[in-house]
Amino acid sequence: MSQRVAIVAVGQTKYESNKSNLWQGDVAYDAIEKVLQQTGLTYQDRVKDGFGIDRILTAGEDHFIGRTSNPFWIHHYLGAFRMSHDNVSADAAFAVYHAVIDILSGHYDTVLVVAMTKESETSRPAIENCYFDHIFLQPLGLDYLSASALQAQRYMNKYGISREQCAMVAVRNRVNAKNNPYAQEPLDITVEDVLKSEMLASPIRVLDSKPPVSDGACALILTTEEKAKKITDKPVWVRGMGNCYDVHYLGDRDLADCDSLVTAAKRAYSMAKISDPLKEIDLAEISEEYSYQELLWTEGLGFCGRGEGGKWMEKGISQMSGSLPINPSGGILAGNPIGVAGAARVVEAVTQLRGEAGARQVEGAKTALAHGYTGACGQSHCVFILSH
Amino acid sequence: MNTSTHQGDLISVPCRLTLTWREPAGLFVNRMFLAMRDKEELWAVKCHSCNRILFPPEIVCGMCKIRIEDKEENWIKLGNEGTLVQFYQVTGSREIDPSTGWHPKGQTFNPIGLIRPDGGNEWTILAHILEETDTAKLSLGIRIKAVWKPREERQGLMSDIKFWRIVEGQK
Amino acid sequence: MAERVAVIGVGQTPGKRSRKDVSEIELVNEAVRAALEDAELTIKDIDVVIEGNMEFFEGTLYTDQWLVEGLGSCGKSGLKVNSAGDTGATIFSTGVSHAASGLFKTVLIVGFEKQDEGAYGGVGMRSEDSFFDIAGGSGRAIGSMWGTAISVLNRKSATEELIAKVRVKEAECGLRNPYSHLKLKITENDVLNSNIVIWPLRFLHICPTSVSSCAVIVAPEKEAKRLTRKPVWVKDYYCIHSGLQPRCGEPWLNVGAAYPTGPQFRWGVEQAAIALYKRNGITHPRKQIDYIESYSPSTWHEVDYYEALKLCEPGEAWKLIEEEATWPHGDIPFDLSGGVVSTNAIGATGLHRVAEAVIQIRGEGGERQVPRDVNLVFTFAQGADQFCTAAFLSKNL
Repeated sequence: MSQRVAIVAVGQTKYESNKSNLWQGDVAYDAIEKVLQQTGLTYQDRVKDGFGIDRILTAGEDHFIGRTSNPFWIHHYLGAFRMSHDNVSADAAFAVYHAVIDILSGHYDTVLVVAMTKESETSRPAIENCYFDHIFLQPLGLDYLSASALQAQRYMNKYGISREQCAMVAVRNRVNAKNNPYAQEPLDITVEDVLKSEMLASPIRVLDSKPPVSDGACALILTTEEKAKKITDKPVWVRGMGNCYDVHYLGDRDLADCDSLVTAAKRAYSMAKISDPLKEIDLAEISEEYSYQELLWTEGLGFCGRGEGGKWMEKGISQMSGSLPINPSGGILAGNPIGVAGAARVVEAVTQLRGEAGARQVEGAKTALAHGYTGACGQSHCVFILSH
Repeated sequence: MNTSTHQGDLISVPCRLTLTWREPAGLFVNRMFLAMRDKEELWAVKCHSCNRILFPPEIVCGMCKIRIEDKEENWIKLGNEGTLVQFYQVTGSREIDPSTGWHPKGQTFNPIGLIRPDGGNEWTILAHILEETDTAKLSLGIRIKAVWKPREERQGLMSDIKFWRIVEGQK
Repeated sequence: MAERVAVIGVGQTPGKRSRKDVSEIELVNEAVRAALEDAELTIKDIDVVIEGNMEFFEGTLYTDQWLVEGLGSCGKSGLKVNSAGDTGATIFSTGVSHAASGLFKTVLIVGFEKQDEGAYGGVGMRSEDSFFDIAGGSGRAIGSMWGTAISVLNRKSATEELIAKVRVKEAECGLRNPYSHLKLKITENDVLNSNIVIWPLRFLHICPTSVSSCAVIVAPEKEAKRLTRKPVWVKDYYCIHSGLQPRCGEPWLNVGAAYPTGPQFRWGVEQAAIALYKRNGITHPRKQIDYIESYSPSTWHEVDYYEALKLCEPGEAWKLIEEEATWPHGDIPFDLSGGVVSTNAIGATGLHRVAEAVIQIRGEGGERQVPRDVNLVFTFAQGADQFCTAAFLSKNL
């Protein structure tokens, strides 16, 4: 990279199933106010001397808001007047990616990234159905859950992944979440609890799945190396990043593969000069909405070989006590809204690297991986390598 | 370069989307709507930094980019009468039925008024329906007043005001 | 910018009311192939694909994901940006950002809108705040256009007759642009007698809803020079947001309060112009700029922009019209593509402006070519009274 880019502040709301007294802007501002207060920054147009935020990026998708041009409605909460502001229609990890690009381009210095979704205001499965093409898959009534069930079946069948291995993912995430004050639904569960829970879409059971509805927001401020040092003594550097598209039609790929994640991760590792992820990464915050996905994504990230995700899980490396803890926050499985989830992983990773993760802190964390994806069964992935 | 070589019918696949949304009004607006429903009152907030009076009340000032504190001195009660700042009437377009995307026939619309209720300043504007359908009788700056629906019909929404009526006895 | 960036290829599909002969995937693919052909590249040469459209209008979530086959983005980096009418210009700035970042060598940028597939009307009515907007049968866009129209009239910047004259110019330019949607042979009388939508806004003043796609390829300096003999340089760009407090009467605050120089729609454009002029040494825009491609969804907007872009004094746009200064033979030709009143496929529109700017600089405009050397072009797009992205494109570095 031509220059170093730092994340200097992160903020998130508590994730809840229904923030019923709050309008969208109220939820977004909860996160925005935190990063403004953390840095003491204001916006470039309000600055008398010194510097301020000169770019705002939001991540939002019109269908969830039910209106076109989704961030427009909260632009006063964003502080967008007189500012440069654009919206990325994808998981917010991609908005963070865009922010880094903007700073590397030299055109902007200090970028505020905001992600907010209130799933409680609409029916998420009905909207997920709109992800599929109108002619072939949408009429079948597919949503992310049913598509993921297809992926889970294919993946587990091809490689002999067991339901118990998947359940272990759910258990670890839900129990980890107990240490996370922002988590929506921490649970004290066992593998047996997961296996006995009600079936949603075979083989995915209720406890294999994220909670069905989540509201929340998160915000980040990124800036150049020079300005980062003026704002904080704990900048977190973006050492590497990568994103990648896969095919869209579910039948056009083997759902037991995650080629776009493999490529995205390679791009990130190459930029960060990481050759041995298992050794060089201290923790990973990865996005998974259903338990089997974590196993598949660990293969794509190169933590283990193809088909070995289940066995790798059993080794305990991803437990809090292991050498590469995954999702100390509890991740999406403990509750995170769509769109916000990937950026929330970045927020958690940064919190860890700053040593501010309290009860969920991974001791001595120096390098973290954060990951988000957009599209059913992980069509596009975005991977960050962060370090302090 | 269009290389399509269609012969015969072009097939289009119909697809119908039914989505619903329920939006909470939010911290300040909820209170404002309750005051409308229960007391026929219109409330705004003032930003202490730039003195703009904002209707509807918002928790953040878009100009100063700071939080507007929930303090009594920041809440401004607006009058039920106001001045017509501008108006327009849609004569050549028709409302679209959101379920079909088509224009139903035979629609007329009342003029829409951009209204400054008493107590607001130059930053306070409320868009609402005017009772008077003959635009020749409307002029910029005339006085108008809110006509409220009866209590049992009010729901805590802007439609609790039926429309705005020209105040009698003006020059 | 860290790296200087050039446009090395452009492709457009002709605007139409409806394209039932193609799917959305095929539509964008037409533009992509045209741009690749223009740049003499194959899809394998592209590193990253940026896409933009108003997803709600076609009813598909994450359209960039669905269109991967048409865009050629499988296995590549990329993302989707959406900023209402500004989308086309925003994806351009996002693409330029990617090229300037040093991480990519060639960036494909694609915008499109296929409104014959969606219920634009129904969705358009959802372009209002749920609680406070009352557009009374017009939807936000038309209500906002009225704001511009009434403001131009009240400022005496133009009369209805002069607006009709400009509209006829736009129509004649549309006839000369093979990509234009509307091909209207109209007279000033036709315009003056056209149905009133919201007085003084008439049906013929307003843009159509079009189906089209536009693709632009950009590359950082070293790559651009290596790949093409006719790079068009992105001299500078600027993005600004006009929205102040959306639920509190916008965009109608223009009638007095927040934007004393006119409608909210225009304020952002004016600020962008002021900033770009200052950064690029433009003190006499009418003299120093060779051509302008604007985002004018109605003829009233075009006339408003004559003043917002400082081509004349406030209140004197009528002079430019009487002198025909913005006509093809004039000294500051404006929207010789026929403009947005001839074609408006929302996600593509801002990008079509860039494509037309590039074509003019290269001298490839055929019947619509400015009849002199075009070295510096100002182009911009606007979205939902809020977003504005403007750029200077130039022949030389």
